[in-house]
Amino acid sequence: MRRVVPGALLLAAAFAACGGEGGSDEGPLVVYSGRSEELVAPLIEDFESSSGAEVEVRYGDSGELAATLLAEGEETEADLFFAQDPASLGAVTDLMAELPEATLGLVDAKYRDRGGRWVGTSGRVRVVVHNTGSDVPLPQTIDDTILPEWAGQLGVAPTNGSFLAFVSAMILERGEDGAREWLEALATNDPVEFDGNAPIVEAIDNGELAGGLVNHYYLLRLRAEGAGQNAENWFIPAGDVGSLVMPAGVAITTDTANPDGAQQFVDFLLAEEAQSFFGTETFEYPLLEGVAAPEGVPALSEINSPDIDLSELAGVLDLATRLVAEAGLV
Amino acid sequence: MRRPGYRGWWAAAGVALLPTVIPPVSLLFQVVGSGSALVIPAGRLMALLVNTTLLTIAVTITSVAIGLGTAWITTRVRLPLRRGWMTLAALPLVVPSYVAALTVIAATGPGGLLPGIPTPYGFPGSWLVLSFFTAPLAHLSLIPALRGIDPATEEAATGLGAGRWKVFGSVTLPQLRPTLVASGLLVGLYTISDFGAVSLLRYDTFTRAIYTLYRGQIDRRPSATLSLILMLLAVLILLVERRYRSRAALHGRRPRRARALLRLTRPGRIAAVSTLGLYALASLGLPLMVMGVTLARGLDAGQGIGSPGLEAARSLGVALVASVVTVVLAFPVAMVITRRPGRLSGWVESAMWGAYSLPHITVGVAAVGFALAWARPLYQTLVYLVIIYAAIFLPQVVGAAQDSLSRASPDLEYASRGLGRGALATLARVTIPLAVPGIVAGGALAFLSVMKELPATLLLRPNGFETLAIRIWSSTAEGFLTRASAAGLVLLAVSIVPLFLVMSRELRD
Repeated sequence: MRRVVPGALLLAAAFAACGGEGGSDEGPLVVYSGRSEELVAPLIEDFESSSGAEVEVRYGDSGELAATLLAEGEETEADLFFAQDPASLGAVTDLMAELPEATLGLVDAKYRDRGGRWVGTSGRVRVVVHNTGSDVPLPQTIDDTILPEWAGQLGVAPTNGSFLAFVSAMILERGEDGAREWLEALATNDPVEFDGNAPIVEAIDNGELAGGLVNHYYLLRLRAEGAGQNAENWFIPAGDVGSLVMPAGVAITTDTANPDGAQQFVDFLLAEEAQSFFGTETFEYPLLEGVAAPEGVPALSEINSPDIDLSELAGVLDLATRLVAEAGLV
Repeated sequence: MRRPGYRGWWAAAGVALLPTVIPPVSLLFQVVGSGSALVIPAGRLMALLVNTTLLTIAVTITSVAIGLGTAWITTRVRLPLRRGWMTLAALPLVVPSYVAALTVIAATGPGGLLPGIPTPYGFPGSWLVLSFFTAPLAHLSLIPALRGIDPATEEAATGLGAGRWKVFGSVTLPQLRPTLVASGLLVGLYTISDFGAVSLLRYDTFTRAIYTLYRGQIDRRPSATLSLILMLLAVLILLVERRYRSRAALHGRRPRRARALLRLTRPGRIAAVSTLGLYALASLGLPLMVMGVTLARGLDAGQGIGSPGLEAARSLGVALVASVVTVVLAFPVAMVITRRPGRLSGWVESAMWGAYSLPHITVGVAAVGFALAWARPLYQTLVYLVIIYAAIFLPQVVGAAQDSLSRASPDLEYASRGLGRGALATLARVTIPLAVPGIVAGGALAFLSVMKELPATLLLRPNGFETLAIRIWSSTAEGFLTRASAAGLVLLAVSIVPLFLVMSRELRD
């Protein structure tokens, strides 16, 4: 015991040194990132070396970070919020500054906040991943996925942020009752529930399931890991929420001590280098005109995505969670 | 009744309990202050209650049984590599339950390592996973207890003609009862707070519902209300335990002798080793195999493994510091509970469970709220993170330390004082050395639990302080399976070394 305690204290001193505390006068640029370190760390390193700025990142779940920002309010240390989905961004627009027109103008109006408080940085598309050996017919509309032939064959992640965003979009498209009806039909069709998207795609690849409702890049990710040969992405052609495009996006806090640095970071994310990084490394759709889509998926313009004002997504997110629970999906 | 010598202990115990009451009190304020809201229909609420209760009872029974088996074999039987087995049987605690569940999912069903076995979704899978991976809570708590039993009692029974099973059943087991109950509480209340296993294996419990609400809703009232209901369930369990517990001073008046290890016959030895082997294979071999296969496949496809070295240093550092802090805070609590039983120490004992039985996401959110309102300078600092870890894992150490203390007679302390030693010298020379086995076992529990802790760490850590548990979670969620596997393997590898060192040195016979 006598030798363990000093040893532990020594280690304490050592690991405090790994704690990523910034010590410079101006302070580092603080980014709350709902996008995981696996996806965006290389990008942030590129920004640090090209701009000379120091960046401190708090990684976490987008929804949790949005709630953290709301709890911290004006006292937050965050200069930027880099989030996975428009709902998290929409929940904190009151704390965010209006972005300049030149920045907003870089992306299609569909993929930014109507009030100009966040801007999309890359596109993520809802798809039906399906096992290539399955004989269940591919759905032509999102309503085909609740037909009897999908009973017990469809993987969903009802507690996942992407699924909830999809349900929110459905509420905007069909109203509360329409969305409730669809969810109830899904619930009675014996869907297979998962905690996240990645395991759904794996289960489809293994032949456990015929298909699942996920985002398009999980399959491309699984292929990069050396598997995924038995599955394919299917983009529902009807133009309904089944092929919703959900941008990841970024916003600057109103109380930032470093508005120039924060703006520089936003500009960096929307410049060609970062945009092609999204296309090739995270397998998302670049939102800047002229940057190529990831290999193996159709171009963004070829996808028949619904017309939905993403600025309103956050307003119906709580309702979406409630409907999912009431339908008995969780 | 209170002798002057204990005033310091009461004060220290009071200070130690402050952090554990932060989360429940903060939660209460949240619900009372902003109004309660429930989005869950009454029918589902009942189902949650039934599911959670069933799982808790089932897991508690099997987990304590497994832990009793591994602890008995590794403390009592002469075996090759006995202390290695003792360490190995504690290690599954460091496997995060969602990793354990993922392993089971990956290993079974079509395309798995054991394709003939269907994946045990729902109750059976959650029950198995939680039983196997919480058994070390009982294993580590029972080791000092088994070593602490005076061999004279068992020898007397043998001398009177009782067979080995009879001795175990009528002499050993009754002396273990308080520890069995304490480890049952550790397992049971952990089970109601666990999220990883039940969510991946799709078994609907309170904690799963609470996490879903936290993640999916910006409005935090429903999740807070549900957490409060869960807290009531925990209080109910504690009340039941209190009604049926026996509390006894287990110390004799004579010094204890060392015990000779049991020599088993060859078939007996084979049975003992294969029991341990099967447990290790299921709880460590399977995860190692699944992670190994995934890592190899990913490396083959040209994937990187990230930087698990730095993350390992952070995890190890924070877990070591947190376990030492938890031990320091737990010791006075254990002292007043064992040495001054009564109504006040009963309250102390209940208060220490304040944070343990809550889902860690609830603890984290409550702690964030408290720090933002009352302790802004502590917000997102390592100091606060360590305090909250100590608040959560305090009962693990108190349980084990309590056991050792109740087997050491306070007469020895009085004798030391009577011979002119001061209070501090008595503490350092008599009380602490007597409690070392329990403290070490409890410290090891806290260490392993902190190593894998995720939800509170995510909310409370300083910016950029990524640990192995965070890496495993985030890589898994994004489908970076190679990195997740590498981090998982590193987590097991770096946990085993300090565990083995401290266990083989301090739990010597």
